[in-house]
Amino acid sequence: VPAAGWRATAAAEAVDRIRALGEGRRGDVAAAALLDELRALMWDAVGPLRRAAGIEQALARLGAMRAALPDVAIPPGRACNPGVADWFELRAGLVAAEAVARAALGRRESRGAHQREDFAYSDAALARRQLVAMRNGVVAAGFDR
Amino acid sequence: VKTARLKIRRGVAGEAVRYEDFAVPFEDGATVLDALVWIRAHRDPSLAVRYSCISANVCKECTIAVDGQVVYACTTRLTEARAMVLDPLPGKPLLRDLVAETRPPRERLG
Repeated sequence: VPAAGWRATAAAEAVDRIRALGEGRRGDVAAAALLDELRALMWDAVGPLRRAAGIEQALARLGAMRAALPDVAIPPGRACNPGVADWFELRAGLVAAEAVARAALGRRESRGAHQREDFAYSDAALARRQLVAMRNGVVAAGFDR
Repeated sequence: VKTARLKIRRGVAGEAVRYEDFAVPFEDGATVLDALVWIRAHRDPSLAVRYSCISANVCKECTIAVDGQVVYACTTRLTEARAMVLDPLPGKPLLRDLVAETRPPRERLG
């Protein structure tokens, strides 16, 4: 049974969008190169040791990369086109990266594998969960009460 | 840093057989899969390669032919000694570049 709000045409529209990507698109940078940059950026700025300044720089770059998604180059071809797969992986990876970075920025303490160089100690008041949500494309994190 | 020379089969089914040469920097121990991932990030993102687990040799997805021998790209070491010739799996329908159709017919998408 389709979920409430599911449009009968949604699947066909999604297939059309994928096929449109397979037509190819000119652009200055390929998704494969941006994925490489994304991995390095997250390792350097949002790795196990992080600080606010680096996380904020990473968030700015993540936002720019998300804004550039419509202009990423995709080689043409429908059969087994790795550029199309890269584009989807990049789109999903940027959202996941932003969720990690927003949560890391909001937790102004060190705890477990999250070590803030600007907050060396744990804060008993922050021994709580954060919720991360994306609404209308905006990723936000906050403590749940 | 050493340099590997790879001759890689390119194109989709029905096209004339064509190879493209790539020079890839590597350190001892690096594999053919490392080189293919490097080429996609730094030289040609349109190169089609099938892999999943990236060098754990768990998924067995990166099976290709190197110098005519069927091997795993992730366990085959690069060498400076000669140019290495990379082909998709022999005896399977070609999809693109190094990717051949390996799924049973009823699991294929139209």
